[in-house]
Amino acid sequence: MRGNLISKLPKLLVLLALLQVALVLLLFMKLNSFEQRVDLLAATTQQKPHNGSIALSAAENGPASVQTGVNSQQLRKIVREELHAALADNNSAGQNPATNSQNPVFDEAEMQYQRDMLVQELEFFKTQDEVSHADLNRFMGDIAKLNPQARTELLNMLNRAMNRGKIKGNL
Amino acid sequence: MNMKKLLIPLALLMFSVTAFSGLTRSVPVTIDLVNGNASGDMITARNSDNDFEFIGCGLRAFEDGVGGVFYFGFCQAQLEEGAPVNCFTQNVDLLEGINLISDSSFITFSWNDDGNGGLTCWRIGSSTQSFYLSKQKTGK
Repeated sequence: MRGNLISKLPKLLVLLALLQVALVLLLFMKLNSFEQRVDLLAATTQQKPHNGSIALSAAENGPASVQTGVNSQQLRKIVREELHAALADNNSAGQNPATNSQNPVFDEAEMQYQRDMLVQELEFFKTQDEVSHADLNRFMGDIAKLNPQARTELLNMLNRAMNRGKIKGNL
Repeated sequence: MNMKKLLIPLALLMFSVTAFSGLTRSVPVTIDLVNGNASGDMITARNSDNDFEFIGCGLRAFEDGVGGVFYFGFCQAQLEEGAPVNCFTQNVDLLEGINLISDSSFITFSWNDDGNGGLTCWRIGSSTQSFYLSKQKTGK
């Protein structure tokens, strides 16, 4: 049984490597397409620089900035489109079934950090004789800023703690 | 003179009977942990002899920070000190039920228990009728 598994391991590794190469290629193609579109827009808007475009100068934005005639709204639109397209690709590949292009985009690392902070605060509430109405409302306001899964998880934790009498307070 | 003295209290007595008529109904809070439901009218709970009894529901709406609004509702009841029952819901249709509750309503709600004390509301109802109101002098 173990020998069989070991004999299949190299094939699995090759398969994973191929998958990674394919993903890198896909990312490269997306980036390339994005750059081409930005260049095209820059060329178009430079022909009419005073048509509602924003010229960013070094004086305004520091030494690293450059003169550009790209309209900021157009840039935002492109970035949004690319992000949505990338998310749609992820979903179709089954990498992240919990999100889709119509849902808001959450920073996963930031979400995890916020979630952990709120879990700690929940634990702190358990040490208090009574949690004030204001603190509970602020806590729920913070829960609202989590992604839907973490939101439900934290609400369930709060609900259990209140029903078990571990957190005393009125909503 | 004596007749006048008698008539005034008699008249007051008659008016007071009129002012306090009307059907009344008092529904104390009950909590059924086995079947997962609670009910009671708010005025009876508020006027109960003990300091712990209550029933009610509420809702909150928070901006979620990414352009949307997060809606959250809850119902809760208690009969003994330190033994509240809270159910939470994010179901927007159930939140509408909470919106219909007024300060003299009879409230009833049910929940599903996840087995660890987490209660999710699946039914929220209310009834707002004159017989749940406390008796008040009408000034007649």
